[in-house]
Amino acid sequence: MRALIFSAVVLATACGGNWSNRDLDFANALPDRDLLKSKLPTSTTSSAPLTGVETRRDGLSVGDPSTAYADAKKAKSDFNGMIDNILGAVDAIRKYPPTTRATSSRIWGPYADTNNPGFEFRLVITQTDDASFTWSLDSHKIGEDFFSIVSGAFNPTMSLTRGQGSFAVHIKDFKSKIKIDAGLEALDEISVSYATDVFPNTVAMLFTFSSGNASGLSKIGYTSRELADASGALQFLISTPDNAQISSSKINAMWLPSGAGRSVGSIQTGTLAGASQTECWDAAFTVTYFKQDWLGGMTSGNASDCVDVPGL
Amino acid sequence: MIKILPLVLAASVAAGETPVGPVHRFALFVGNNEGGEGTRTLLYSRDDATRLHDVLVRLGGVRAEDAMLLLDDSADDVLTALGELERMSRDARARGERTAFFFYYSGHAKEGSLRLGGSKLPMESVKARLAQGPADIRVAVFDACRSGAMTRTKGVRKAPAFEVETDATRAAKGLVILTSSASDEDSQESDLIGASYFSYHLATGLIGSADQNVDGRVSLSEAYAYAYERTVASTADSSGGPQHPTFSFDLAGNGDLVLTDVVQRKEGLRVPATAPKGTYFLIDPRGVVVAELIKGDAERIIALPPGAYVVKRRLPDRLRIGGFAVRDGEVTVLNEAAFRDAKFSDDPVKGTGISSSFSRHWSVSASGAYQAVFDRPTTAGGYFPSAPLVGGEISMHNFFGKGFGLSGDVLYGWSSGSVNTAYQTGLAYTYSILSLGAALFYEWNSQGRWIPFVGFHLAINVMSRTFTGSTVAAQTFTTMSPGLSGGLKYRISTSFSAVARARVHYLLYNVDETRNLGYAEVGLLLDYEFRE
Repeated sequence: MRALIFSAVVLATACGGNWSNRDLDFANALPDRDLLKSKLPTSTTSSAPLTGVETRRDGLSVGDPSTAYADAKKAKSDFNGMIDNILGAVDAIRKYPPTTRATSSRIWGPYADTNNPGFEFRLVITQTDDASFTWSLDSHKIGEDFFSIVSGAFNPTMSLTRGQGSFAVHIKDFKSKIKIDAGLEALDEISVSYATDVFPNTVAMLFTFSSGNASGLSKIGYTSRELADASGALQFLISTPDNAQISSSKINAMWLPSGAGRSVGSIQTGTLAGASQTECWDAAFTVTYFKQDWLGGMTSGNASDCVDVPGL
Repeated sequence: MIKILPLVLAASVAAGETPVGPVHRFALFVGNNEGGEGTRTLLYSRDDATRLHDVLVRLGGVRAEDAMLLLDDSADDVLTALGELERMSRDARARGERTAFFFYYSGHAKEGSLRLGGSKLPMESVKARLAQGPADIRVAVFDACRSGAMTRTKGVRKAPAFEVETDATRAAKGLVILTSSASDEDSQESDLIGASYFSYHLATGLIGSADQNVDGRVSLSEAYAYAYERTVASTADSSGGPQHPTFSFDLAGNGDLVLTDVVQRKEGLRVPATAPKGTYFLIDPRGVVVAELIKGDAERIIALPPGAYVVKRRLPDRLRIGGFAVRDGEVTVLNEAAFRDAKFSDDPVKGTGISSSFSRHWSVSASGAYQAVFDRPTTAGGYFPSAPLVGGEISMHNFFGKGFGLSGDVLYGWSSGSVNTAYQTGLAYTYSILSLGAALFYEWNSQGRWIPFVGFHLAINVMSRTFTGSTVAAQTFTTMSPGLSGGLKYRISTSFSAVARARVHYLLYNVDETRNLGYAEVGLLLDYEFRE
């Protein structure tokens, strides 16, 4: 009788679901790709040069469509595309409630990996202390141990999806175990660090290539910064140690909310080290100043027509 | 409508027409609408017992301290009260007083027993107890279906009247039993009179309608004759068929017994000899006929209690309607000439309408409510927000007997806000709740304008929240939540009611942690009842 009463009480208050404030904190430990993406203003006028690097010429004059803007736009597109590729799976998983809840962890999966029959993947988020989370997107062949595809860490601060975090794609560790995109075959690792709790919000991405890859690239680094007013900057570093003239170069583009901006490209190491090119554009994305800082380089316009982007 | 009514009354019997005063009278009145398993809830048994109690205390010489009124009490309670009154009667006899004992029962009788709620009282044992009672004269009245079984012994008559030798000099002793119907008949009750037919006519007779010899006093034989005639007449065309009261004597000695003295109190209505002959219906403010008076050549007095009344005469082509008031200690003289003519459609007799109120019937409601969750705000770590709700419900009234009903309801609510957690703030969400519920409720005073109710409510709540500006998964929580409800219904018209209702529910949360939460829900409903 007592058991019957107990059963009746339990039945009368039966409940279940995924209503969890803690889940929100765990999910928040995962990077939000929309927050990490670069947000370069785009042209809304027909005069804008939207063809990117294909329009590059040896020199530019004031009033020409800005090729630096087009380069920055393509770099932004590449940068955001890579963010999408890396975090797409994470974002997709976050749209589902966790499969397993423990006091200091949440696990999604394991789910069947349709791209790799016989494999499963899972996402594990662990709170390591009061202000730190680690997470790992793992894969395994059914019956074998899991190995990490992407792992990251996040230190939240008391703001909406804001904090400081990092993650790395361990391509070298898994490319021999599962099928991967062709674009990743030349890489050993992609590492990303970000800070979204203070301005400028910063996202730094470093691609480390396998030694001896056909492109000759060793490392490419992107750094995106963004202020509260939507001013932004995108810096990328390219390391090509096998190129004696340009062993490494850096391009630093920055822009105002209006779209007007400036870009400075310089050769960091190599026999041509010190050479640089500055290009400024206005809100219509046309050149206002152009200078090639090397012997015989051309100059067009006045440096005073370059916009200043304070804080970046 | 057929109903099963038992009734028992007792009165004093004295030699000749013994006045009300000299005999010490004791009385027990029992009314119980419930008869337990296999019976339907009666509507007026309690009212019948109360009415007879009031009449005999007011006009029948029964002192209030010598009368007991038991409503909805058990068989044990009845036996206990009976024992107490027998003791009082025995003590009175020991003091040399002549005593009389009235026993009245209105309720269910089935399979040889009086049915008092879930308890039973064998009719034979009651009869034996009354037969051996200490009072000199015992009069029992049973208003119950097939109560004629009580008179299946010597002296039983299914007859319009019994004759008493009024010139006898030897005081009577013994038992008289009146029953509302024969042993093979149902006893019936009526909304128009708000009573069972037999008890109503008996009570009406006792306040003066039965005073055939117009001496201002109503004897047992007069009361029975009047109740018999009027009961048969009232039920002749009823769906339950004619109902014939019965009586039995087991008396030593002779003499009629005066049950009430309608002139001694000097309070009521005087219908002068000059008033037109015919039947006068006296109607209370509810539209219920509380007394009938058949006026002949002589003046008549009806000992009505103080109050306002409407009086109706029915002529072949119209009604004659008037009004009067009876004040404390005053006799109001009826002035028929002041009546107005009225169409039959303006008949002031409305009846109680209780039958339809107490019959099983459906109702539908549209509702608006606000649900307040007993939890911290979501901006302070709480789980569930408060929200307005709209919905509807359907109810079956009197499903489990008078007053007890079932209902089902659906409510939908929504709100928006933001949630703060341990590590983030301002995560905006939109919230919705779908609640499916069922209730078991009890309504009081279903025939009244104000109807309070309470109940047990069980809801299945499906709550969900989606987060705006975030890819975080939507969250849901489903819970079965028990609670209590209560409220007040105000009857706007026969079918439409406005209802104010409050519910308090338990809410168990058990995902992040186990927390005993709850919520209160206050709402307003517009209700439509499908009553016959």
